[in-house]
Amino acid sequence: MKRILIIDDAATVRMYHRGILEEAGYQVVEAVNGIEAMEKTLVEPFDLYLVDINMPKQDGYGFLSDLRSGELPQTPAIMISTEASSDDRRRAYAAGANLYLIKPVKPVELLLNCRLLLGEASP
Amino acid sequence: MNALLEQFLAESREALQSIGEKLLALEKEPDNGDLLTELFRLVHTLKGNSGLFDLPELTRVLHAGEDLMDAVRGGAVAYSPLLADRLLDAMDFVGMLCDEFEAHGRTDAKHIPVAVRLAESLRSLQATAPDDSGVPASPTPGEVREAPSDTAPPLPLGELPEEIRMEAYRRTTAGEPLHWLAYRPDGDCFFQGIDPFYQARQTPGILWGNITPRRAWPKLSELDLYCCNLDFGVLTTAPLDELEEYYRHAWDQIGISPVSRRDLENRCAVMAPHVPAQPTVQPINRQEQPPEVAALLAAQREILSLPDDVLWLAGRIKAAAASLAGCLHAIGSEELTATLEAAREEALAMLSAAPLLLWLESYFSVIPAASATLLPAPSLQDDAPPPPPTEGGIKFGRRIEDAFMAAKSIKVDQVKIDRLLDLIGEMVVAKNGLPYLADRADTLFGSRELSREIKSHYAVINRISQEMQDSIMQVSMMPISFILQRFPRLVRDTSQKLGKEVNLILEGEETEADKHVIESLGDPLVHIVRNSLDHGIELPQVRLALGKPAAGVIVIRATQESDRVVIEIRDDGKGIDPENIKRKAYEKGIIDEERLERISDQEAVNLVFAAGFSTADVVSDLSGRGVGMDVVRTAVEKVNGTITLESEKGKGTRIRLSVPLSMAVTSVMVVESNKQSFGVPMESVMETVRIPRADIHTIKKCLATVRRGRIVPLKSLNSLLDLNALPMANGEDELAVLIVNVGGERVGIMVDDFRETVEIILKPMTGVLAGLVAYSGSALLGDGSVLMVLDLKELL
Repeated sequence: MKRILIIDDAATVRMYHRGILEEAGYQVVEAVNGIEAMEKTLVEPFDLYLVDINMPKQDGYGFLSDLRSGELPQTPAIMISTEASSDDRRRAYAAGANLYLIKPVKPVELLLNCRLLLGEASP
Repeated sequence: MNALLEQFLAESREALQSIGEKLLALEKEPDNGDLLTELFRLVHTLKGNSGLFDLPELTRVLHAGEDLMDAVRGGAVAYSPLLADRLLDAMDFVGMLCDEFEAHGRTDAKHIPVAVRLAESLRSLQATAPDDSGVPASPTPGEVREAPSDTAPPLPLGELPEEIRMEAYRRTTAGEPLHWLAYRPDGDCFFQGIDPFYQARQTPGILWGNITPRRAWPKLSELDLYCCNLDFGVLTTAPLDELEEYYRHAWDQIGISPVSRRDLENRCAVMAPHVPAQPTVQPINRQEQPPEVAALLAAQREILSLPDDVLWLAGRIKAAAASLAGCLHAIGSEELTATLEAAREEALAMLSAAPLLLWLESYFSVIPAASATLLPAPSLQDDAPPPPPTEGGIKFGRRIEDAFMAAKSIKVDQVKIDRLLDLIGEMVVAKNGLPYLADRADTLFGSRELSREIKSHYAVINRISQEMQDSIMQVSMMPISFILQRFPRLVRDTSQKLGKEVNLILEGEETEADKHVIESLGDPLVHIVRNSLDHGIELPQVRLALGKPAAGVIVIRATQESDRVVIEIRDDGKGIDPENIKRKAYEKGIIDEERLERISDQEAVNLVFAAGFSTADVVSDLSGRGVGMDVVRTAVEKVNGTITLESEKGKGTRIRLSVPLSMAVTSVMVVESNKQSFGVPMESVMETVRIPRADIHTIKKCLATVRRGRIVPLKSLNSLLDLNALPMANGEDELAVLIVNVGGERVGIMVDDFRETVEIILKPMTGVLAGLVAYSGSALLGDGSVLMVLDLKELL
């Protein structure tokens, strides 16, 4: 089973994404900031990350650049943000995101992109 | 209610509370960067969450708030009290919407104008400052509606096909409303998940529509496919409010103008020959693959084209390659993976993204990402576009096995705790049956051994159930800060309105009491504090003239005294003038002349609690409204609390509320009358006496006796309850009299006999019995019988 880590400080958003992903059969783990996310990554690696930007302690950019500089840099990551501007998108990509989605992400959109990044054919 | 919504509402309320606190804290230290960052984060989170639900008004206001806080955080806008005011207003609105959303599952469209106004007021703060944050402000809403012609094209009558014009003419003649709606979507609407064509096509009552480019189409090479360049026009017969409801997500992007029959007639004469609307956008075939594939490829291309000056370039290359590989698998193009792998190795060896980019160019050179999201041909005669993907199938996993979160507290529905309290109450009662059983084992079955064993078991169960009862009561205890936390805001707002300066000091906020008790204190406390602000604290100049500091002080202090919580509200205002109170009370007939002569100052100030007493000369917006302190007293007494007031003229006022820690267990005295048992709450029982019949006198047709030099009126419980029997005397011709204190008056109640005092769990009367006001509730006794508990205040 593919493991996905949701990194977001908003419990509502975590719950929303968890609901969608679990329904689709993924194993979902949550973290509330970049530090916690990295700790969990070191215990057992994930197949995909959903990363929020604005979080206390360590934000999404910080986490992504740590991830890309670390031991398991290749895991794809989706940054999920409320900002639609291309500057924000570029910043996310520069930090290490592989895809930039705008909140709220529709369930189909999220699932499709997860499948693509995880290399799974659509059912 | 679904779990996600519940979560959202709970998180939102917490965030709103925090925002309020942070803003107040900011007033004290406006330069605190941490506070600003935290504030921004809170507003940002709220906004993000709100997008999951259909709450356009809420999102709009929060979006403006977020932009503003971002600007403040970045230093582009300075923090000011005005800013705090507006943000607080906006958050109040958000809170109100949350409440409404919770109650009705939707919000009323009538809030749109308020939302627009609030968002505008927030944005205007930002606009006054140099805005270098780069955040594009959304178009100013409001005016567009009134004058759509300024921003959007007017009704092109010339383009209206003849049969449509006839139809429209016929409809208006029949009295139907006719509107021309110009819809100009935001340029970046595609990023907000909006399909403007679908939105326009689904307009209610649509008769005809057209689509025009907003600006002349640029050269294809310069065309920004991500920016919506279309204006939509819709001729509709839907009433205005329906249109407003439908377009409430895009309120600031539409203009509506009524079209009259005359418009249709007049233009008719000069109408050009019928020209069908020209398609302005060529249809683009959808890719075979979902648009996400193209978007994902475009994202990787963008990532790889970024400047490669980062430390984690290797990581970036690996991740992009992994994403591309995933994509290849997903779309079934595995034959390309070998070439991708080669490009990846080369890129890593060179530590440059170029080989991967080259690979992308050679295999996926076309497809600009968002082309698939473009509209089909704009002819409205076409079939409606396919409905948006349904989201109904998604259910939310209920597993909350987040061992990681290590939560120290959990939220529990009040109903569940009440149920637990009920159950433990029943258990206490059931347990009380065991001593009876033990007695029966001895007397009826003659087994003393068994009786002893039952008794020893009873002792164990008794201990456990008592501990259980205590623990469950602990669960429903909450700190008094729950109600005190709203006071800083209240005092700030009210004192500003009154032009007074007030410092509020809260003490003992961590004192705990039962949730019901705490909640019932909220309104009385607000009333008391408002009274202090309104009537107590003087204006700054008056205070200075009196030699007091300009800023008044209000202290709210909570402490625990044995099994009661005492809340003291103290102010250093002008206090209460007892002479004034006496005069008012006499004028209103609350006290008679005789009492007026003898009453002490202390007693006089407590007259403010009498019903129908309000000293405000002018009914002010704040405390007046015709309700006085008697309402406060009633509310406090409802939870078995007491209230006292001390005041010194010119120095200030002190009000003490004393309430029980918990209402769950009530202590009652069981009395017997006409062979029935009744419960009387212990807190009103003053003493139990046996009075010889000879000492009972008839004064003015009422029975009375003299106790400790005071006349105590006597009433018989039988007659109060309409029981047709006389009180029974004991062998020495003495009557059992329960002396009770009701509303400060002593009354003797004649009963047949006193029995034991018991701790009971009082259940309010429900159903048809709720109409019996003489009883405050019922309780089960250990032997299984029901005890009715009297409500003395109603009875006397």
